[in-house]
Amino acid sequence: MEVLMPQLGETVAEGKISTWYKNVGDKVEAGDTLFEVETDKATMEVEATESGFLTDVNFTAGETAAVGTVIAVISDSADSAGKSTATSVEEKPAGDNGTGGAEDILMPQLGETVAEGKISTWYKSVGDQVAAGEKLFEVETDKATMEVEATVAGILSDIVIAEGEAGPVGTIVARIGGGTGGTSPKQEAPKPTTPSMDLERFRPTSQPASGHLDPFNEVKTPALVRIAAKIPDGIKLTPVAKRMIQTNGIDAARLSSTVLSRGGSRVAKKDVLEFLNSGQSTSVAAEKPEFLKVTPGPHDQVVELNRFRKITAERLTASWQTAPHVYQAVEINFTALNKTRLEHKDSYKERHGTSLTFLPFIVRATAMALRDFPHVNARFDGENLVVGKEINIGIAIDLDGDGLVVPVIHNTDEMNVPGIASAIHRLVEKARESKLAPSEFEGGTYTISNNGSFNTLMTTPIINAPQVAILSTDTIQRRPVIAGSGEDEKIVPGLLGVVGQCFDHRAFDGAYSARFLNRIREIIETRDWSRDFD
Amino acid sequence: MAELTYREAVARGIAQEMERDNDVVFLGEDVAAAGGVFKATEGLIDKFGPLRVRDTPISEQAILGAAMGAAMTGLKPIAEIMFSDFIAVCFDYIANEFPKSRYMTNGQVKCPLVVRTGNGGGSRFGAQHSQSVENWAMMIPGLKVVAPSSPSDVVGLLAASVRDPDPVIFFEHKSLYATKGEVPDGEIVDQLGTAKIVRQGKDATILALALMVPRALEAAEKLSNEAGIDCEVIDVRSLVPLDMQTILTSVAKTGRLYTVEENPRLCGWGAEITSIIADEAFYDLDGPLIRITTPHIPLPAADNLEDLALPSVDRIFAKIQTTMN
Repeated sequence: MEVLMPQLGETVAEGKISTWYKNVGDKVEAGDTLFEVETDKATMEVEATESGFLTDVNFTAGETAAVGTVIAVISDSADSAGKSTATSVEEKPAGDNGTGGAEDILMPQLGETVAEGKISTWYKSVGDQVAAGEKLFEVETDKATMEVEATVAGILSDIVIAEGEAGPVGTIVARIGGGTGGTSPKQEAPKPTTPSMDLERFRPTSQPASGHLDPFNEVKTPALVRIAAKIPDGIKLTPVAKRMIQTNGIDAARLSSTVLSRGGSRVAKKDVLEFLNSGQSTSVAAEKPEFLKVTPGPHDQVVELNRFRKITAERLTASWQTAPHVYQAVEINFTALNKTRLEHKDSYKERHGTSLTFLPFIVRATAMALRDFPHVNARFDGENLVVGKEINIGIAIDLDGDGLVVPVIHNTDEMNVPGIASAIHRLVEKARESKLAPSEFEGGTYTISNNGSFNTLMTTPIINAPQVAILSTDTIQRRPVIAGSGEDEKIVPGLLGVVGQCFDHRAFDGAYSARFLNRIREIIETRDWSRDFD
Repeated sequence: MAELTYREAVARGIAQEMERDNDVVFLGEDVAAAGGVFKATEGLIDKFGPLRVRDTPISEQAILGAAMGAAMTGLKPIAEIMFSDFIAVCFDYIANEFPKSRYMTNGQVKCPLVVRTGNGGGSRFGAQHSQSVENWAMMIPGLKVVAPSSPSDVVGLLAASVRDPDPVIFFEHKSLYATKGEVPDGEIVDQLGTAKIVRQGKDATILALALMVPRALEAAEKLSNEAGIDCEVIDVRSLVPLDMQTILTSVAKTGRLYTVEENPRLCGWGAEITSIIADEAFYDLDGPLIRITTPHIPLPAADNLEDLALPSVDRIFAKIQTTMN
């Protein structure tokens, strides 16, 4: 039961304990006066409301406590006390560290410079009943002889250091009670426990209780930050730079080289921030070597890149620098396909208001081929190839020279040629008006760069990382084609175009890419395209 | 709101507490009839009478011994040691008696007293009357150590010191006595263990105490105007308890720490704080921890030499400017 500082009047917030009438360990009856409280208005006595043992006193005489504070604790038995009784503490100079009901008798302190004592005489034997205060044994040092008395009553259950033997100060010499059936009356031999110190009592009251660290005891040393990357010689990282590098997963070697190339010798917080904000670690701008620096002449025109160009530049640079590009191309005969295209050109224009170009056919053929070659329809993070379940083909669209956007046709493989054609038209319109929704340029798994309208023969595009390949379609024009074989071999006019692919050689090899390109060719040349217009 | 000098603030703070609590008494050399050699306690004798405001013989040991006896028996004395250098004369009380009494008597004997003392250089008093010795007190467990830099802090922190149940060493800076500042009307009670951010900044944190606070502020303005370096200036105010929370928060923001100390270089308070920062805030640091201190020399009396020895606005400015770039 807790004894609280009572309410002392309406305007009184705290009381000073002027006198304690009981000591820790005392038996207390309900109604006994425990302590006297004093305020600037009055003095009152506080009584126990329950019987038991006074086991804890949180405020000593002279101390002041707020109304409602726990002043003391009364427990059912002295056993549950956090401390042994005041009187027994005085009787036990060697301390009481025993367990299990037994009381340890220790080799006492024998003088400031004495480390051990020899038991010269035992006055009691194991099994003897011992009363508190009775002589147990005599200790002898080179300076003096002293007798040690029992501090508790009970049966001497164990003698650890026999007559004639020596032991260091503080060691256990014998035990009273416990094991061998020693029955010690509870009152006289309270179960000893290590006294617990209530440090809160000693905390200066004026010190702010929270929000203040305690530098006078110990401080919290942070965990070590290790940077695994190899840092170039001649450069050091400040601690906060290290932490930020770790937190942001920055390439420390690259950042360090950047700073070093500017003539710096220390990577500081501002360098990390610059690196992070500069469009970041993959940008070459951050580490521009001396020979790449351009000083404009008086007649030069400086064209500042717009946002789209900057993003395009950054992404393409990153892709070009990380992915080993390989270019492969096939020449495809579009003659048969063109026949179908011409058949449906007018009706398509009538219905949709736009021309039916070769592009939607190529997109359709590519989507079909991607089903057979799933590793082309994938993304690569440097370690793992993430193969896409959906086939979402992006079309690189030129914003009239102001950069590229790549709107995405989701689930391209589920659409027919007219569907793809109108999707492309819609996306191009929106892209040119900067009205693409995020869902319309996100989630691409493969990209097609269409340069055919500019009469290019072939193009080697840069992969739209983290995708692993990009297709280029160029001009489709009439060419002489050798048809037939043997005797029937002849030159006929045909409509031919080069379809090429750049792929990331880390993701797969040339054979896989070549088979994929040939699958596209096969589809374009042999498929019955009229099925898409049924 | 009134504009008071630092010295007037001392008298006002003492008067505030003596009016509030009849147990507060004040004693020291020439503090009563003469009003203090620095005129910081003028008028107290008239207001509170010779029983509560007492002149003492020239004996620092007698002053502190009497103060301790009074504190042990229920009074709350404020004792003045005219020059903090002479804490050395009565160091037994400061180091062995005041701070140990509560501990060694298990809380039965307390020592609620304040030792006010004129501290610091800049007044041409020579090597034995000019030292900055707040670090002497800081190293003793059981003492609280306060050193205000402004008149309003003098009143508020003096009140907090008087009301503290344990011994407080209250360092007034001799070269600040004549400085002026706004002091709010009415009772002012501050809190020990709280530092004050006196200038917000983002590039570096400057910690200063007492006379070094106005110098650090002036250097910070100059750094902002002439070098584009935006410094946060913290008046530490109380060395024990020490408000590490405010300091750590600031260093986490700026990544750089400068301490401006009047203590001679070895074992100045800045050494203690930088060691805590080096440990606890290591990964907030963006450069070396730098202490700007008085060199480890007896302080000269000659004007020009004393000015060279103590950290000056120019020295603070130059040190920060060169080490921030």
